[in-house]
Amino acid sequence: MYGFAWHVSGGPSIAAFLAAGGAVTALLSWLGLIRILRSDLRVLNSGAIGPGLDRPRPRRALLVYYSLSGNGGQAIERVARGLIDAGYQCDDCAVRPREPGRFQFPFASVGQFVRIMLGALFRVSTPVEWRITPRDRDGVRDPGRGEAGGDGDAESDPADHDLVVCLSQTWMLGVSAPIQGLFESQRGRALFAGRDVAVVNVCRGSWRRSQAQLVTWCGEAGGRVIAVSPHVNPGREPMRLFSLFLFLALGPDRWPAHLQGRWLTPQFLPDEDLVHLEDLGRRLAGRPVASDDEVAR
Amino acid sequence: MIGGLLDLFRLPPARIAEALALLAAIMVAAEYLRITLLVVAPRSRFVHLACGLLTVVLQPVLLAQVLYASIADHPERAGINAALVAGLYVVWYLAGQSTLLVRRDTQGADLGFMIIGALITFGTGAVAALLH
Repeated sequence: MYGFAWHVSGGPSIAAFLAAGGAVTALLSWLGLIRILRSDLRVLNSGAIGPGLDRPRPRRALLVYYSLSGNGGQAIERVARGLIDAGYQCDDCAVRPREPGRFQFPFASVGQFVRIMLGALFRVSTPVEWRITPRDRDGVRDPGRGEAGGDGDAESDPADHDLVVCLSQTWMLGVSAPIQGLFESQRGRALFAGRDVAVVNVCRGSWRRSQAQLVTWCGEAGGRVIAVSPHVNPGREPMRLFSLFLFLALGPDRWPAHLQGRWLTPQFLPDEDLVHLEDLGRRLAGRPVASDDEVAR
Repeated sequence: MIGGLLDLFRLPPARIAEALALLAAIMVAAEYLRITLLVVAPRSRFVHLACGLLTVVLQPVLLAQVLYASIADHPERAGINAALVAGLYVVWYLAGQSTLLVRRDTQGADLGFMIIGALITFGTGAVAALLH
């Protein structure tokens, strides 16, 4: 078509104009596609808390998480604090790999880091176990009362918890291997069935795919995702990425704190994010109930 | 025709505008594809691998090849060609950021991994400049 236009016009100008017009049209169409894909995530990322399931609310939340460096653990702790302040009781469901040596922090070697990154790129999960540890009304954990079950996979009756807060970090764009392992377990998926779910992502900087994965898997497991809260480490690139690699290699004990701020970026969420997470907990406690039409959607 | 098209990946001075237009189109398409795929098929290993490759591998390796070949062909233009490739990185970044105009939660360009990619590209260019 462009060649014909070129020939007819006797020059490049018309053909170039048509080509440019075609390119702009293609770009705008593609941007339109990006806008409409997974519009559910766009709505959730606006910050609103969606209506929850119309079911009895024992005002008890299950906190499902895996934390390697403590950043995710700190985040889930603040959500718990907000929930407890609003009158909820919380139970911890800390996910642990059955092969703890595979995921050491700090990393034992460059090879271990490379294996984990390649595993994350090729979506290799890991078998996991978990333990549901109740907290008292002040939010203090009582490990002695934890339920582990015969093979380490504790079950949770949907009647026990009306809300699940699920946290994952991002490993090479996707959900971390232990959390993926949880969702590949039938008993793991059962933790979400029939409950409202809030998804929290904590990462260096890329949460979009790990959020999409977590929201999708929670929904497929029978949960109703009503809120998302993605959080990134503070700082600017590229030092944020390089700082992460250094932190994973050195760990908190050997981290050169005197270089933080000048060259290195912090590896834990800033205070404003932690305050936001605590507020999220309070808002989740007061979430509305969905109508039949909203549940059907 | 194919040969003529492939020649553009060597930044020929006589056809530099066409070469840059083609490479810029590839950079924009690759970035839009990456951002599109991030929320598609969450269980698919293939899609996830594609996202990873489009985040830090394919574009830097392509531009490394372009830079190496262009310097090999015209060593006197090493600086100019490096600047042109740097301009393509800017196109890549702007493509990612442009998605924020239609949707705030796309996150835009991943600058951290882009800079990792730039190390691959310009490291290769430095080797080319030393060898030729």
